[in-house]
Amino acid sequence: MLIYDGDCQFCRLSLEFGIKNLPIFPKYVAFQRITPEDFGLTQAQVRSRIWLVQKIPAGSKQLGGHLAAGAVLKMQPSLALRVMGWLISTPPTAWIADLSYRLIAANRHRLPGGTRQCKLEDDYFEK
Amino acid sequence: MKNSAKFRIKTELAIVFALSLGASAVYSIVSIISRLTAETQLAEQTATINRQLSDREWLDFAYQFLGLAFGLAPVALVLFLLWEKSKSPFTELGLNFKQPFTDLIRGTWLALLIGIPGLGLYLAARELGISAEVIPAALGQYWWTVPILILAAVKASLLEEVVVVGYMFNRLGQLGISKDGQLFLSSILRATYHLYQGFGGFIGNFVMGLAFGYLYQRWGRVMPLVIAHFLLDAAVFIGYALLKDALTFP
Repeated sequence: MLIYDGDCQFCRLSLEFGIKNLPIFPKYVAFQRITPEDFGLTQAQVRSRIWLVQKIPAGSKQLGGHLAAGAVLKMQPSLALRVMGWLISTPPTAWIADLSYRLIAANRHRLPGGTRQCKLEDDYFEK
Repeated sequence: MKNSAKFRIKTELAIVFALSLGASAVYSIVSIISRLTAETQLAEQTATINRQLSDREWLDFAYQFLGLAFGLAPVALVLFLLWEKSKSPFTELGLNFKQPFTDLIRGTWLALLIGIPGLGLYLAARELGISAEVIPAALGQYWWTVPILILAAVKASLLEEVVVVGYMFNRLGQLGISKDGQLFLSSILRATYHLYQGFGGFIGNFVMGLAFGYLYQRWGRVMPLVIAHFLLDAAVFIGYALLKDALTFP
């Protein structure tokens, strides 16, 4: 499950770009439509970055920000995308990805978001 | 495909790249060796992309313009080589204006997705001391500075996306190299000819090559990549030329 900020148009458009261009995409939901604590996350955490919550045998695992993006890329059938996911998730390149993600997250209100905010429907509730 | 045909394609690839970005890649390797063995640390060094070529204004303009015009010759060459009786190379590569709005939206979005993390990567690489300071534009303040920088962005975007993605993928595909193989070879080449900027430039351009190549394989059009690359370069070249006194880089 990918949890994102539904009030952030840049985040929604980024998600839409991923859905359109990646063959495999996890279920997704805006944090405003769930109780983050049910997923082991706090309000502050879900406001600051995207989260990928994965079910694992021992319970659940939360990956935030660049690690969530990296994990989504590592799910893809294309070797090139999996390598990108690996680069994003593995130090030392992961440190650079983390800094880049923080830069985007801190400035996302300045980024263009278009006017299609209503187009994307969370598929967490549909499936 | 017959061995003779494969040999012909390999020879063609070798000639095209020896005349263009393959040579740049070799010079880049020499450049990084030179930088790493210099007394000054890599982080203390600078790499200038658009530099002044003469103290005399008209001569500088002439050199800049001619350099950009002749710099597009490899693009013309590969389009010519891809030109077949039944199909235009522009159609083959998707280098046309048949989908202007889709291409523009995709290109703009791609520029954002690559450009912002790219800036983050550059800043991180500078912090880590694995990249030289990149000076995108060091031209004089003339009336033609901005138009020349726009032309430089056009040239770089056409050269890199048409030759390293469109043409290279086409020919590697004819050689029977898998889609992933095409992506890696193209990305490694792109990363290598940016190595003169340091290891940050290498990593960033490798990832950019993977993303651009993957989307080219998915969309079948080079035009969105050209638009994205143009927007990135134009923003960096012109933004730097106009704002360099107000910017602080680490």
